[in-house]
Formats: sequence, structure tokens, C-alpha cells
Amino acid sequence: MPTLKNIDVSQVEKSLKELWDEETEKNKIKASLFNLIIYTHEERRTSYFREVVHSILEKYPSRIIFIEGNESDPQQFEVDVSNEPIGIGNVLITCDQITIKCGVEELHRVPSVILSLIIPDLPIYLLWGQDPTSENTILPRLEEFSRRLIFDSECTSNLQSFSQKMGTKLKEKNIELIDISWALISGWRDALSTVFHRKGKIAQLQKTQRLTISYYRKETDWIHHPETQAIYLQAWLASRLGWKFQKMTTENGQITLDYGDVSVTIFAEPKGSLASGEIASVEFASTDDQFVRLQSPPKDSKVLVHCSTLEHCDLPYTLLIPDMQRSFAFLKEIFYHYPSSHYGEMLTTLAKVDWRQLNQ
Amino acid sequence: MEELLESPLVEETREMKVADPCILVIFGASGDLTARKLIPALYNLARDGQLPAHFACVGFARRDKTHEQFREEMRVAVEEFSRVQPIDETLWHTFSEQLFYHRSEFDRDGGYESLNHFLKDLDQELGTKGNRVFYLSTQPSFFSLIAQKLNAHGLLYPLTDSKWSRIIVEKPFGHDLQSAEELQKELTEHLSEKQIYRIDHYLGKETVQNLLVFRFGNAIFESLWNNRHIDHIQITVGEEIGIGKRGRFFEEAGMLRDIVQNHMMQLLSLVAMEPPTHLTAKAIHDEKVKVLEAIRPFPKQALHHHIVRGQYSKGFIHGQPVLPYREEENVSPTSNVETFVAMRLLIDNWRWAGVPFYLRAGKRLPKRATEIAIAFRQAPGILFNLSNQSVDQNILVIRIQPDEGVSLKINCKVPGLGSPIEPVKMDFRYGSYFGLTPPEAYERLICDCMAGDSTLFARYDEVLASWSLFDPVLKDWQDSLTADFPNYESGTWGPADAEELLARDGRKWRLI
Repeated sequence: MPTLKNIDVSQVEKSLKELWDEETEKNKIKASLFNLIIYTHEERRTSYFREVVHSILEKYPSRIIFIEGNESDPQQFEVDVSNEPIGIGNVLITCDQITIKCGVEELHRVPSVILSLIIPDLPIYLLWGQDPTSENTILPRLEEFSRRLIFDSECTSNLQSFSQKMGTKLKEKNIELIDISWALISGWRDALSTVFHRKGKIAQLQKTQRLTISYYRKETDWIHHPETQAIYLQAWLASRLGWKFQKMTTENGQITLDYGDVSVTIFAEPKGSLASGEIASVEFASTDDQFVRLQSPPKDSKVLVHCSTLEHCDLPYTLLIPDMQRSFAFLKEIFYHYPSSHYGEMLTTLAKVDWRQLNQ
Repeated sequence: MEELLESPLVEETREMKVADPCILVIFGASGDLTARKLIPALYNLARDGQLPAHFACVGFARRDKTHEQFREEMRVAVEEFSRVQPIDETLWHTFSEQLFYHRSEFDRDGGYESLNHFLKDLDQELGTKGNRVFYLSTQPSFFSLIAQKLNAHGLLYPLTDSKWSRIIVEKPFGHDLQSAEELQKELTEHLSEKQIYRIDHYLGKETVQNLLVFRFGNAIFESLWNNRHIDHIQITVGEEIGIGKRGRFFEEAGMLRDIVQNHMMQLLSLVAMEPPTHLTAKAIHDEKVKVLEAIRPFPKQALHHHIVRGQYSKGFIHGQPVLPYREEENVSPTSNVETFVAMRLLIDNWRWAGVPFYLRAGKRLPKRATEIAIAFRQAPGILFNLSNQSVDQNILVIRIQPDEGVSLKINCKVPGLGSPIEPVKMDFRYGSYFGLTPPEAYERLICDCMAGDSTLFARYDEVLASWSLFDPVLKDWQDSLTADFPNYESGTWGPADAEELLARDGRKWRLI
């Protein structure tokens, strides 16, 4: 990828044009659907987001402004530009990529730089790689002109506090909030909606006595809380079905949540080749001994649905859920889907639980 | 044009602006404008074959130098500032022989006497036929004096004369309504309005000239160009630079006088005017004046609800720290001068009734950008303006500088089942389409003045209409000090009051 390093901010546009002019490919197009500003200051997450950026550009060419915070060199301020090439058939599509490497003492310079670099009239999306509830230097200023803040609750170590603050932010801010973990379970939410869409099934759902969720756990550099998606899914169900949280216990990695008449268990499946944190199965047991089990086999974007009672089993069927690991569906979810009120309600439920026990 | 068509050699399909032989005298030739703009413009006109065959340029200033020294200085200037590089040696050799220098003070009669003799000698030598253009690249306070001296020494001719004389004056024309009227009175004691060319270099820009073509050469847009389809219009003149070494001048002027009263009102008049009956200077000026005179005056009460001002504090431009205005060179530490202005205007005519025009101009903004943004009315909320999503307004943007071009924001369906609607841009860029570097504004303007075409210059009544609008504001600002200056950080888009100006109408400034 052609790159010009350590250039003056005032020369960014000119340098991008130079890189573009140097590209000798005849069928070349420069494309941008939106401006995407990304921030992270942890090295482990920088590599992760670099991969995310490449996935994004393949589906949605855009101008990328990547802010790499540098905690080890507080006074660093360096700007690099590059043309990220994406090939589609015979056409070479390139996207502008601007990287601002910035020490913590120079972060306050960033907002005015960003203002001069965005492409007007295109949406501005902010992908925040750190905890958005604890950052006050530049995030508030960037939020002022961004349409959408995309963040990952994986970045927080205190999910309760995070949920409380994001819930408040959701009500106050004039910016769309997109939680990556919420987006990642959208396929499962759709699947559950499909399974329980008939009157009889809804009644059965409301009689749930036990809910068991398993997820795939695989150690990676950037995912330290693989249980998050499972926690979100049960919180969503709890908020939609009016379950009242009582207490939580953990034992050997297994999480048990007591909602009074309903008990929720979350546990990890150590085996499996899907991405860490992906939900493996969801099982409902109702008070009248009806069972519904949804299972996602490894290496598959299908969900097998088994419905049964003590006396008989329905014929299992399959629902397709989109592969949410940086696929087109996932990207559409985070860039183009509008968050529903369910998300805010889920946050309210999450905020009632002290999740710090999981860190102990 | 009619005279040209009588010639058997003129083809009606070839547009030619023929300038008579003439001499251009630049008063204040030692100044910045001559080196940065005027001489490079003349050089490029020569390069494009647009200078009259018989032509000379005389620099008039008080510093002592010879013709050769002046030519050498101008060569350095052209090498640095010409839009076309590198310098063509053969062309420069021929061109520089048409450059001369005349030393004198502006108030010395002897200087004008000797100038007259010198110009007559040049007429003999170069065949310039006695025609004169006097470019007053000086402080406005010298305009009357120079005109008076020129007239007194026979350098200005009446309109009935076979040879012609014209003067070009730079903006601002006066510093308020009264001074503009006085200046006009003083100038017209010595020459007629038709001989006065008030330069506003914005009018020489290709993109500004394109406004008329865009509006009246495309039927698709003219039918939408009214209050039935347009929600509001935003005009922005943003500069990232501060006042540099112009502190002394800026302390007397301020943003309203320096940019808004002239450049922005020209842009507004071209955007809002009715189609002229002909493409003649008079017809175009008449329509511009009509729209300027239709602007509703600012109300005396709650003036700040309609026009706000700002002054930049320290901040960052391109990531580099910059000083606040009050710490700039030759600026008072308690200065009350505005470096930012934003306003809300209404034009009371059939076309624009109810459509607000929001104008903003400022220094030390995040980027340099001059543009006109036409925001169209929102589509009715029947089909796509649903509760969980909203559809963006269509916005047509005419970028005057930089990255000259036109773009249109439209809404499109994102591919896929059940997908929402997102905005995309259709974009035309001058550079991509036309490749070559367009002429600089001053090239066009000087060429037009030599050819006697005043279309791209400001007529007196336009200037008067503009001053009439802003005079009460200037008086109010002079009488009321602002306790909150500076009130916007360098590198941001202006003070909070500017945001409030639009927020009261339920709108926002476009992020450029």
C-alpha cells in the first residue's frame, strides 16, 4: 500500500493526490461513502482495528482517519497518508487513509486536524476503540460533528458502570450509538424473534423458567471478555420479558443470574472454531416442560432449532443467521442499521448487575 | 461586440475580447499585490496572447529604482507566483521590455507631469495610442488624490475623447456608507462612472463566473431555484490563515468591511439575482442591484439575533498552535475588531420570500473554503421519513475555492434487503475534467478592463446598496464593546452565537 510518512497536516490532501496520480492502473476509481474516524491507544486493539478497517473498505469504500494514541511517547504527533487499494473485477478502487499517531499530551490538537480532513456532506462515523464513557479529551469534541458513535463494550472492565453511562448518553446525546456487541448478536435476536413469533410460542416464552446460553471461548489478543455477547442476549430477553434481577453468582467461569422466577445460566464451550465470544447455543425451558433449543454448529452460519416437550419432539428446522464476523451483514448492521429502543432497555437491565465479579 | 461583428474577419463563433493598445500604470507598484498578482497576471495574459499587441506597464511608486531593477524584481515575482511554471525565457525577454518604472510620490505634481511626458513617449515608441488604465493599488485614502492629480495633469480624458482612460480601484470602496458616497463624489469630479472599475477579484474567478452559466444555462436548476424548493442557502468564506502582517489594516477594517460587504455580497447577488435580459454589463448589474436592494434591513432591536461577530483565540491550525488575534503583530491587546461574522438575511421578493440566507466569514477556521450550499426542502415524510430514520436534505454545493467544482448530495438505497437510505455525492471537479490550470482572477479582470467590459466589476449602486445594509451594523458595533472577545478557538468553525443563529430556525451550519 503506497504510503507517505510524517507529512505536514496542511499537505495531506496534496499528498493523497500525489499517491493517486502515481497509481498507474488505468481503471482506477477513488471512492468514499463516508468518513470513518477510528481511535485506539492500545496496541493490541490497533492491529484488530486495522483488520476491521480492511474489511470495512472492501464493502464500503470510505475515507479513513485512524488516530493511534501513543501512551509511551506522550509528545508524538505524526501524520501518514496512504491509498488503500481494493480490487473489484477489473476496476481498482482506492480509499484515502490518514493515520494520526498522537501522544497523550498532543491529543488536544486532533479535533481541529480532523475538522480540516473530513469530506463534506458524507456521514461521519466514529469508531471508538476504547471505553467511550471514560474519555473526555477528544471524544466529546469529535461527537459534536459525528453522526454515529460505534464502540465495543469489550473495551470496558466495568460493564455495570458502562451500561449506566451509555444509557444516559443514549438519552442525552444527539448522536446514534452503535454497540458492536449488540450488533454481533443481531442474528440471534432475529432468530429468536422468528422462533417465537406465533401466539403459542410467545406464551411459551413468557413461561420461561430456565434459560441457558453457551458461547465459544477462544483466547485472543483483543478479546478479553468473550462472555459479553451472551450477557447481552440474556439481558435483552430479560428486558423484553420483564424479568426482575435478584442476584448473580459465578462458579468456575459459569455465571448464574437469578431473576426471581427465571434462572439464567451462561457458560463457555472451550472447543469450537468460531470466533471467541460467539454464541453457541440458547436453550429455553418453560414451567410447563416445553423446551426450545437453538444451536449453532461450529463453522456454520446456521442455527438448528429443536422444539420439544416431555412427550414429543417437533421436527428440527434450520434458520440462517448471517456471519457477523466482519461480514457484509455485520458492517451493514453497524453502519446502516438504526438502533431500536430494545438496546436502551437492555442497558437498563445490564446496569442493575455488578459485573465486576466476573473479573475476580 | 457589435463593432467587432462588422469586421469581415471576425467569425461569430469565435469569442474574442479585443483590447485596444494601451498603457497600464500601477500606482503602488512596490506593494505586495503587484508582485503576487498583477505582474504575474500580465505575464500569463502575454503568454496566452491576450495582451494587446501594443502594450506597456509602468510601475509608479516612491522607491528609487531603475527600469532594469523593477524588471528584475518582477521576474522574481513571476517565477514565484505565476500559475504556469517555469518561466518562458523568450516570452519573458519580450514581455519585460514592456515593463517600466516611474518614481514619484503620490502627491507630487512634478511626478505626474513627468509621468505624462513619459507615457506620451511610450505612445510614440510602442504605438499605445494614448489609452490609459490606472490601477490604484494603494491605500484607499489615496484614491481621490491620485484621481485629482491625474485629471489635473491631463492624464484622464472625457468619455467623448477618441482615446480612453480608466481607473481600477481595489476594494474596499470606502469604509462605510458616508465615506463611500464621499469617495464616489470625489472621483466623479474627475471622471465618469463608466471610467471607474471597482475590482472585486472574486468576480474574476472561473467558478464565480460559472454561477451565471450554471444557473441560467441549465434549465433543470432554474426551475428549482426559488422558495418552493429551496429551504435555505449557506454561503461560507472560510480562511485558515490569520491576519498575518495585515494587522494595521485589519484593525481599521474588520471582517465585515474586508470580506462580507464586498466579496460575499457579490456571491449572494449572483446566487439570488433574476436572469438578466442580456449578457451585457448593464443588464447584469441591474439585476444584481435589484436583489441587493430587496434584502431586508437588519432590525435595530435584537440585532444579535440576525448578525453575530467573533474574534479568534489561540488554538490549532493543521495541528500547529497559533496565536490569538489580540497577540498578532500590530493588533491592540484589547482590540474589539471582529475576525468572524455570521448573519441571517432575508430577501423580500417573489423568488426568495421566506428563504433565509445564512452567511459566515472568518479567519482561523479549520480549513480554507469558499462555497455556496443550496439546501433543498426536505422530501415529504410519507414514504421514507419514518420514525426510525430520517432522509437527508438534498444539498447542491458550488465550491468556489479550493477544489473548485459542484457537488450534489442525494439519497440512495443501500444495497440489500430491507436496507436503509443513505446520502451519497455526485461530484464534478474542475481539475479532473478540464485539466489545465484556469486563468487567475486578475488576468480576466485586467483583460476585461482593457477591453472596456465592466461586467465583472462592481457598479457604484451595488456598492451603495451593500454599504446601506451594513452601515447601521457597523455603527452599532462601534458603539457597543464586546465583553466576550475572543469568543472562538482557532481551528473551530466560529463562536457559539453563530450556531445559535441557525439553531433558532431549527437548522445547522453545514460541516465543510
